[in-house]
Amino acid sequence: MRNHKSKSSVTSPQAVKGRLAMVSLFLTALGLILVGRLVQLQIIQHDRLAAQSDRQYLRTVEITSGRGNIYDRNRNQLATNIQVESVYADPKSITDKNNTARILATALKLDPKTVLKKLKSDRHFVWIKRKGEMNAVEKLKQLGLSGIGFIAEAKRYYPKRKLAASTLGFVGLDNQGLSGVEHFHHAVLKGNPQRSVLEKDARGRFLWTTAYAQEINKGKRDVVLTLDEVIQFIAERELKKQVQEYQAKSGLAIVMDPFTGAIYALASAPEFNPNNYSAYPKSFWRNDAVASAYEPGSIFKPIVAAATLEEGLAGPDDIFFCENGSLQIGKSHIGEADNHQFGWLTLRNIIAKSSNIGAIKIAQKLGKDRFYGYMQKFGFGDKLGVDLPGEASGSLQTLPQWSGLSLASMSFGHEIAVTPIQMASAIATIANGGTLVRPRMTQSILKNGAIEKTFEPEVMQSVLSEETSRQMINILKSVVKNGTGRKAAIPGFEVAGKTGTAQKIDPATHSYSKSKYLASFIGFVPADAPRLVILVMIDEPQKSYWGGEVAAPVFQRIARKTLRYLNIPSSLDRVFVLDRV
Amino acid sequence: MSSHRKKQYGCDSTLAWTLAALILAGIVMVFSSSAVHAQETYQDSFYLLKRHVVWVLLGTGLLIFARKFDYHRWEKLTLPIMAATFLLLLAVMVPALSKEVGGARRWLTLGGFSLQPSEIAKFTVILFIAKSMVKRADKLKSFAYGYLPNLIVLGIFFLLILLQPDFGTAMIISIVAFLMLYVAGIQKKFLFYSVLAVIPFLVTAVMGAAYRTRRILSFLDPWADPSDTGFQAIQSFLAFGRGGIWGLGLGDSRQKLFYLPEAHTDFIFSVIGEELGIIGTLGIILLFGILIWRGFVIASQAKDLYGTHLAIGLTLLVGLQALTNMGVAVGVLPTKGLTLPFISLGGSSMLITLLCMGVLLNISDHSVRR
Repeated sequence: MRNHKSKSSVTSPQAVKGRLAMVSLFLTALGLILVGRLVQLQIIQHDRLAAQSDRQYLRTVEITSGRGNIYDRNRNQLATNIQVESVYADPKSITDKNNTARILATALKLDPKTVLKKLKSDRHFVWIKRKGEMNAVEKLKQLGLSGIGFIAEAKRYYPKRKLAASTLGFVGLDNQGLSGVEHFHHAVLKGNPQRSVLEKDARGRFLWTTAYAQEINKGKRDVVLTLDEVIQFIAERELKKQVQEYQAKSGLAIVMDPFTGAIYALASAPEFNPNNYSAYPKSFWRNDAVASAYEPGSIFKPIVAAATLEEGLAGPDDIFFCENGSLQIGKSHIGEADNHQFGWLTLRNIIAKSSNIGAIKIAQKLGKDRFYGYMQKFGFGDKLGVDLPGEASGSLQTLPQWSGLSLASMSFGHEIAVTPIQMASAIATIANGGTLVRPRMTQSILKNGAIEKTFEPEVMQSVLSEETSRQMINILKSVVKNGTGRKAAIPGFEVAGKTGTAQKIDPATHSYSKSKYLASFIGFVPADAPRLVILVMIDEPQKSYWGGEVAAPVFQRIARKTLRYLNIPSSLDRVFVLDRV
Repeated sequence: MSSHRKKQYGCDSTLAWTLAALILAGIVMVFSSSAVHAQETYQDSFYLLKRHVVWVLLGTGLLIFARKFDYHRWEKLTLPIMAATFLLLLAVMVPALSKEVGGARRWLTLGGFSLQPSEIAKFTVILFIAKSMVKRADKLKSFAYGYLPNLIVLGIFFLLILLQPDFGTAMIISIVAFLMLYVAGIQKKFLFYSVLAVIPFLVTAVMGAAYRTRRILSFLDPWADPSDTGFQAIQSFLAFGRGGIWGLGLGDSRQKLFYLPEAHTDFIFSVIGEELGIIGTLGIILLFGILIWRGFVIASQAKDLYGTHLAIGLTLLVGLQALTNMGVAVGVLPTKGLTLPFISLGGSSMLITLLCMGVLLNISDHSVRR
């Protein structure tokens, strides 16, 4: 073979090497073009291309997670978060938009036209369904549609469902607190800023979301309420039973500690489930105990009596003439409930038998100015500053607005509107020895599980002396012992309280209705060392409208069960213990 | 490289070290660029790496074999190899024996094993041209006796590969063959007119396949339709651009997260650009530069003309394929679907490339003993 080499000039080693050099030159040129292009891409255009690629995989997305829990006083969870999945689309990477829209709409029960419109947008990210139903999302995942992604989100969840719903409130789709504690403490519960830049792969899936979720859970704050889920449950169950039994329009109950203002339960009927709040009428969401004002009726009489005693204008056993059931003030004619015709009654019996005319006589002793002063001292006509949203101030007319009838009407709880929480606080003042304590729902705030802030009981003002308080307690005991409130009596405990049966103003006629009543009972127990103040209001009961008939038994049952739950010893227990010894 | 050291190692050690560096870079980059894809597809981020390593080991076995196998014996085996390759290229057209991927039949399936006959054809054509150039050394000036036989054989292989269709491989084989013919001394005008004659044919082929037209159009202006055909090119540019001088660091490519199609095969160079910056890309170009340089040195120092032609062919095959792949990645050539030798996820191409290098090393062995 070697002999070929020299035979022809074209095949000579020199000629071959020459042409090989040409080929080398060609390859070198290719290589230099390559190098030039790399310099252009990697150095000259580096900033522009890097920015452009950032745009395609960085997405700023609002993610809701890390909202704090809400606990009751014993750290039972009342509101927490569960992981659910939301479905989103990258419309630009979906080729068959019609088909994808149809599949999505069927799987998630959405309107196909709305979905298609979203898929036709020229954005890189649109939500298809926030916090979707778990099974539907799971099925959709298995289809593996291109351009459709899933992202874990925290959904607010109320494990006790309807329990304390109107107090807890609820949150919107982006976990913004819309009502109740959720709204009031939103700034605390919402946690860290929730906008974040996430990285995303070409299939639209987010990267490193677990690390992000951990980050956002740092600094999470929880709210601990004074509410006790057991007492709340008792109050709700007893209230609901009675509202149904009497086909009432609505009802509410408050259980609070008279000394600390801590609210143990705020029950309202009808209830709603905050996990699905939009399925209920808006009126169900309102927390009537703080947000609505009512003419209290006779449960207001103890306030007037307490003021008169405190001023030393009368004693519990001073007697008043009750006009045999008929009193003329100006053009108005005032009678007693159930057409009673009382003659002379002691102050004690005026309260025990709930005489309207007697109450007017007491108020007249007190006089307009002092009466108005005590209304303000007891906290009426202004917000108490309870830590719940939408608190109403009620309505207390200023003295110049009063008519000749005002003092008389107000003495038995009309021409004045009070919130249930104001009423409960005023009675708590009588029960605790004369001090108005600010009612409160929040016990403490936790940060990363440790107590960050504790809310202490807050004295607003001193209203009554201990002496007056003791006299009033005795008077209110006789209401239950032998007055209108006998059905509130609890074996083994002394109960103090007052019934109320308020005629409601008919919005159509602007006069008092003959058929619509607000039946109520307010009281505290054990009477001489009160632990619980309980207010029960039943709005428009049907079969009977007497507070002593409709509301007092609810008070009795809530009080009896709560006392047992709190292990507060009754006199019967003491006898029982002695027997065993 | 002194002749003293060459004697010590027996073969071209610079080339051997270069190959080792390229293979090592390949293993690292295949893992980096395939882990996410493998996890996604096979639930095992090492799946494609393991396959790659198996191919590298098999290929290295072939390399060691070829390094010890006297290259003159290839000359005698040329005809049987041509016949076998021809049959394999026919077999790949039988649906029962092959698998179709993306509208093309390029793989023969034998049990669990798949083989790309067009890769073998690359080696076969080089064997044929080298042998033919030695045999026809006296008749090179003649069109009918020196040039035409080569053209006919080349044409047959070219058409068979084009029918699969595998346009990229057909083009690479033709360019390597023509350059071999040119270096051997075939008249330039023959080659020039052949190319002229082929142009209308190529245009028809490009226009005939819609995807090829799109590839060409998107090559000319990738930004015209960035969401569709220009997508690959643009994503590749973005990868290089992000990398800058120093790169984002090994494993930190974002573009490989499904933005870059075929990140572990056709566009592995882009991932290198993104993770290792221009330092990495120039490094790879340098390694291929050394490979080509050593290949041509071996060619010019070969014991005989056959060795020269064979060495040129083998070097051109690997070198041109590398340049083409990198040219596609940076957007100076239209999208072809060619792998980056030694570095892209292996398969038939890895075996053939390493076989070629084994033969090249054997030629260098002989040149030392001359």
